[in-house]
Amino acid sequence: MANIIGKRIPRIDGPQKAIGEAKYTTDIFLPDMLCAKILRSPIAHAKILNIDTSKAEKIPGVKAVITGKDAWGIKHGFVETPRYPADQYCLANDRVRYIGEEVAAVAAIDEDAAIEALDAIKVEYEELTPVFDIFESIKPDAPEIHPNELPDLTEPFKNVGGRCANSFGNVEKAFKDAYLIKNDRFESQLRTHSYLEPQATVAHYDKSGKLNIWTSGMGVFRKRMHLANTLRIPSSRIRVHKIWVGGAFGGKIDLFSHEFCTSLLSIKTGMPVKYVAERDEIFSFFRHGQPMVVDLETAVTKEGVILGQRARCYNSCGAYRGSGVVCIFLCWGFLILPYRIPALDYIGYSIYTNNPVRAPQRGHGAPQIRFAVESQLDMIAEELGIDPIEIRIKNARNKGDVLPNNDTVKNAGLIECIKKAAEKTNFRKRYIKYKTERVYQDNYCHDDYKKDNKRFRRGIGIGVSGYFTGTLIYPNNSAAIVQFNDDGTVKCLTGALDIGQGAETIISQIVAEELGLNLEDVELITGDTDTCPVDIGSWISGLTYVTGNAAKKAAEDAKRQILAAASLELGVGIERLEINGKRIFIKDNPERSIPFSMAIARHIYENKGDPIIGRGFFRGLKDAKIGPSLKNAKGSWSDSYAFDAQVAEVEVDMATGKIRVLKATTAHDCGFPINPLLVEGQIDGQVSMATGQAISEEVVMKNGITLNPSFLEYKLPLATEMVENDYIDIITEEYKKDHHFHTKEVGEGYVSGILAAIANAVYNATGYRPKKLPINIMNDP
Amino acid sequence: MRLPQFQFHSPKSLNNLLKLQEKSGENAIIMAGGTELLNRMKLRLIEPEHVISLSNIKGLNRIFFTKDKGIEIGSTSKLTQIVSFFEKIGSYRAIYESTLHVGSQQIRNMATIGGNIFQDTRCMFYNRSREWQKIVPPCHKRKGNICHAVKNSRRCFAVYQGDIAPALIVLMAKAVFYTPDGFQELPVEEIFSGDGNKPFAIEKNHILFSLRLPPVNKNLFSTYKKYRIKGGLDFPLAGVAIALQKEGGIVISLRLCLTGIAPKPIMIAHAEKTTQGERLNESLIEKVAQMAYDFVHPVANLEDSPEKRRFMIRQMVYDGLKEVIKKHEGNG
Amino acid sequence: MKAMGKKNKKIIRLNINNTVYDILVEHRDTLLEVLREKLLLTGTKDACNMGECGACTVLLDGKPVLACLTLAIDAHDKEITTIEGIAKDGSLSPIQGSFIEHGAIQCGFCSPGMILTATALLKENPNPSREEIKKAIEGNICRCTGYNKIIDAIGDAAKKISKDHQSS
Repeated sequence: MANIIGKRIPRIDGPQKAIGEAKYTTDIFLPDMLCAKILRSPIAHAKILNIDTSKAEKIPGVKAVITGKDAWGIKHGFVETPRYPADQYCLANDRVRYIGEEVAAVAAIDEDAAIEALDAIKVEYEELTPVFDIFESIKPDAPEIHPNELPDLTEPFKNVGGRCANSFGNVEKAFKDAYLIKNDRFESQLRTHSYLEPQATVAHYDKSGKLNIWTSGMGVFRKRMHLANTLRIPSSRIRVHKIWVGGAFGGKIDLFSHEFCTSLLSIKTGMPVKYVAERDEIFSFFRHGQPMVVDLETAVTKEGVILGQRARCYNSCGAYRGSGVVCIFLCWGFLILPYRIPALDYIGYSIYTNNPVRAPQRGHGAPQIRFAVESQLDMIAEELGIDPIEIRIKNARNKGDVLPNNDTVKNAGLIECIKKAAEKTNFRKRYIKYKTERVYQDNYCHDDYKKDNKRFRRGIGIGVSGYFTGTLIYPNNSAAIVQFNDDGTVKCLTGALDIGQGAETIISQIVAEELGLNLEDVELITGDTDTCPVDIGSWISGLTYVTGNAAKKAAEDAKRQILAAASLELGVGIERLEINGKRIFIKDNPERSIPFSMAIARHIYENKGDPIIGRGFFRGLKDAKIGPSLKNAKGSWSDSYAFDAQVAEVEVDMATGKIRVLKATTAHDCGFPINPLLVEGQIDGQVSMATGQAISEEVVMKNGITLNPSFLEYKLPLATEMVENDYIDIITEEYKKDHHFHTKEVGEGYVSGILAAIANAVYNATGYRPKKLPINIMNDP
Repeated sequence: MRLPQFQFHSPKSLNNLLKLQEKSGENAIIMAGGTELLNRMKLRLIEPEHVISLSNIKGLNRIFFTKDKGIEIGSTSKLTQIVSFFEKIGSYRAIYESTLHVGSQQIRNMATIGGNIFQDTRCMFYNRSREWQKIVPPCHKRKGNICHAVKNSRRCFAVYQGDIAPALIVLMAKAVFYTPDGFQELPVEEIFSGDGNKPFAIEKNHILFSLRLPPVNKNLFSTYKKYRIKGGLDFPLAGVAIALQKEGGIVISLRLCLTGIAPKPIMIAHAEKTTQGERLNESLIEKVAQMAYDFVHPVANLEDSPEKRRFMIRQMVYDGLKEVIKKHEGNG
Repeated sequence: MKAMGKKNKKIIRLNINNTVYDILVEHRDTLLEVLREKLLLTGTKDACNMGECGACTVLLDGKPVLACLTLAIDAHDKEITTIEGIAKDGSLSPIQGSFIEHGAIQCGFCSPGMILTATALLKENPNPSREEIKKAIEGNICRCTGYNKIIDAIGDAAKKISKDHQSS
């Protein structure tokens, strides 16, 4: 019977955040701290002929100026593999490939001096022809952004940064035998994370030769690794400090130029250096989510069972590879995960354009793919006269299903998710009601809607998704240490970084549960590369599973040691002992017990002074040497797969085209929730993000320039657009003592289903089938 | 980005303000609430050497009934004051509705009606940061000679997006200015030049003192409708103020003023002529809405397509007219 | 804009959380800059510096305003309340407690501004409807929570506060 696991526990970092005490990178002020600014290319594609920094260096108050020549030509990348080697410079080398690419950096005593210095740097460019559209970019006569280096690229495409091709089953036969084939194109827009805390870094190369870094990121060990490589310093001389992070959603994983620049500027000046990105800089030049075009062809039987699919994903990765090569692999995964696909012919292309580099954004391919698949499945259902729930249940993965890469989905609760979501929302009845109430019109905002009382139409739609739970990517694993204090409280050291998702609370709950402690008895020391062991990082949806299990093992190790000592102290075998409330009891004679402190003292005595330190290590995919292949999707991907079914209810004003998302119901198989309050928070946030993606958000770019680089003009949801949420837990796993737990991710998987559901709901309400995001019912579909 | 350097002055009287203004020369600007001004200064669209604040001048922020039962609104009245006052009295509804949806709660606590009226015109190619401006060649409003919104245009199409001015205009408000030659009055619509580059036809040393609303007939109802993609800070991508006076089903006067679609608020004069003395039936309402649609020609320089904004003008005129008619009927 | 050019400065008096500070500021300093950089009261956050996100909300004479668009010199002699002044004598305010209890804080960056806006709301309107709460915090952007638990927290705090008033 769990005491703390599964309970709605308020976050342990709540109080310090509520009183404004929690410090973020932007809150760091050190004595003699310099202000860093970055000079960016105003041209989308050009050779750099010369950079003259001489005037800038002479400006009073300017302490250092650096350019690409100071960066030793070292490259870095989101992935660095033989197939996809590092391709990006920290400061542009001899070419710039997007407007905003970093060309130089200055450190000065204040912002005024730094800006004056930027103005004084003279860069000579030789302009090259740019290309901004992916389909223009792949043409044989397109300007070359990077040479083609992929040996398996058989298509006559230019500017392909990544290709992932996977096929299985007999696709030809599937399409030959099909009763119905549907072929559609779906387009997902450029949208962005809009984290509240700006990108920021403070670097201080102190007198002992240690480079101290505070940066708004998503994983301290990865940042340290990148900085060590690009600065040519040993990892041991870099300390990435623990600092709170004000949201990231995938946009702060990579090494950023400003992290390198502040570090190098600090090394050169010996003074602390701070860089904070302006908000319009973030909107214009930093990394946004991947826009994508999906061509999807699906063959089904008369009963609506999927026989096979052909899919082509065209991902717009920006001017460098970024995470596009991972995205196109993940798109394959998100295609094969929720439904049984007997035959598939998939190719994903990650295509360069002269736009800023793109990054993962919550879902990283899943929203784009599920929008396509779920929309098309609804279209198929309608043509076949099958209801949307029925067709999904028919095709959904079941417990124990084996995926094409030989992973199993283990305890998949997808079918139950679909059924429960449909039941809770009275889906079938309302779907038919709204469908019959709408009137088909060619012009969806016909003037007649002004007059009749059917101006506001309701619609209901469903979307299904699946997600992986951690995979192998540097540093691949997590470690944790649990150390007893003399009084029976514990210190837990973990490199985990809380970026807002509640990592610290979850880990504390796990340790407390294992050791029968209260939450306040667990002190967490986190997110510091000097004081904490390695950690997988707060991305790829792995933290709770990987770090959580590492912390569990460390706690178990500590428990074994304290029980061994208690066994001696109480004079009974360990199997007769149990733990509760910082005491150890004899199970069948609970009047006999000792406090933790006594057992700890006994341990120290028995072990000639050694304290109790528990260690735990964990990584997913234990039997796999490496992660899945980004080239052909082969290989084990994840230990655990999460599923969900989400239902959206919308209201559309037929006279103006305005869409309101009224309610979202999420039936989620996250294994079991370690903290339901936190899970709900994740669902709320993702529903909000999906709503924005569905109806209003878009980074508008033209010729490489962002036209709406502000919170005012980037239309993300406000409080007045809040969606009412319902949550249904589908429990498919459980927390067991002495066994690693199989929880499933909750941080990313709930964007996609609801996004697709909103699109389907709009169709149900209006008869307009969205093929592009954001949805605009006044456009041609 | 920090603000540029300037000298801040906070005179205690209008006379002192005028003296300061003269002394400070060309590069001085008047500040009311500052929400719009400081924003433009951070973008380096303007870099005044002197900022002269109205906030210490007493008597500029009173709202009261005048002797003739009209209302006088001091120019530095905060928007929250205005919302509160007009919510209570119920009449001049367009003033309440237009002010209520300006910005957020925080903005309404800081911003003044004078500042809202005298906000600069906006354009997505203009209201951009210094960094952005280094990339894109300067347009007319930035002392260049091109327009990014309309190719080969010799004039500026920056849009006036003030919410409150059109409401004042349909309610026949007058703007009272304090000048070196004493007080001067002007109908609010005459404040605007129609030039996106220099939107105001007012001398620099004419300081807005107050707005005077004439007494309103009990048969006059007004409303303001705003189109924007989301709430909060969003400026109107199109806005419609309507004031309708009816008696026994016949239109005495209909005044329509649009915002968010041109460099100044636009009055639809022929709608007024067409409806005077007529019964406002369904087909006349549609006709008036269509007139508004035909009259406006927004360009692609804000967050939504010109076509959608025109469309919304028509829809909002239609919806707005239906609403004020209903209010009439509700009052017998 | 010359770096070492003439800087216009003035000593002003700021009353922040019932403490009076005499500070030398530049005329162009915003209240946000003075709070964070001169007084190291970093609880008030800078997320956009353009008045568009609400993260820098403070109370000026009890009313929520944006510190990034307020000149420090204009806040002279006014009563300023920042997030550091909300908890009294080490006790969290009912709103702060409610935020924590309801899970209304995730990354926490919007929380100070949100809490201040909510504090002002409940002083003016002790029993707001759900719609009134949404409208009041419309100027505070949150990207993590979807606003659901924030609205729940404010509504619940309102009930708690009126209960406390009734019983006292």
